[in-house]
Amino acid sequence: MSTSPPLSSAALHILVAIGPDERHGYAIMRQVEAITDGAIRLAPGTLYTTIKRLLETGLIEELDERPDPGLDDERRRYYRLTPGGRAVVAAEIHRLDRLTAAARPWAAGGRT
Amino acid sequence: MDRIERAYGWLLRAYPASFRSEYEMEMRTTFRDQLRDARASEDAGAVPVVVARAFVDLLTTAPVQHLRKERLVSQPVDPAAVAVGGAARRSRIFVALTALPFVLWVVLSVLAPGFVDPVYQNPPAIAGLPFGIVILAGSLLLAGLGVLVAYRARSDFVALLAFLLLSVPVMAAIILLPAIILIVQNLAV
Repeated sequence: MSTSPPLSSAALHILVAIGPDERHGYAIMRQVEAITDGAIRLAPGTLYTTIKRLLETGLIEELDERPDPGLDDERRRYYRLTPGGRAVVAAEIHRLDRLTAAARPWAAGGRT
Repeated sequence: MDRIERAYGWLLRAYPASFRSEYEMEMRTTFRDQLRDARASEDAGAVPVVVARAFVDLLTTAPVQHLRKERLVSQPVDPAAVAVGGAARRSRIFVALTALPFVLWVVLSVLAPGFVDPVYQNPPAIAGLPFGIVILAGSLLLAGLGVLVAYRARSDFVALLAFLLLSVPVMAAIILLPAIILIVQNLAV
């Protein structure tokens, strides 16, 4: 069982948005919006301050800059999860699963 | 680059220089991407929402970056080096600004003695102590605290906070104190 403290909401969403892929900042933003059905829309400040923290803690790593063929010719910094980042996401999912399981019996009207 | 992008780029100065050197270009690019998509959508309110969200986001995240920078430099390996570095970072202007309450009181006392007299003349008492002088002393102590914080601050942002949160209220209190004394005296009659 993980002993690391829970991630912030922004950090967890960014890690999940990156997933197994390599993504640049705006692609991470759009993915977070997609997986939350628009409920969470990151702004650049939150995105990059959180990315900075994730880099400092070794949960993500930075890759070479390259353009996104789907956008424009601008060179963009790509990010991907480190093995440590994947482990933290797995631990966080496990923690949330336990929380969900504890709440489901009464939060969902007693339906299982 | 249009006006909105230029304005956002200017507002990014709210972040510490070290953070900007790493992420300013990416933040500008990402903001431009958001604006492009907002303009391409059929929603007339999309652009204002993007701008408002970015502005509020900046207000909440920039101070945190300054505070994180303060925390990171608060554990020096070489105190002498940090003392020199801190002095280099401290802005003399902000330290001078925090000393304004003292300047204000001296100027008022010299140029408008009638204005400040109520503070000294037969003020109502708090537990036997002159009300006006107690408030004045407390205000000037707070102002002194502001000067100390600004002097020891390792960033202009903290020094600015000291000015805004300590010196400005004290100056307002100094200006209002004689009037408050007179009001309290009239109520007591």
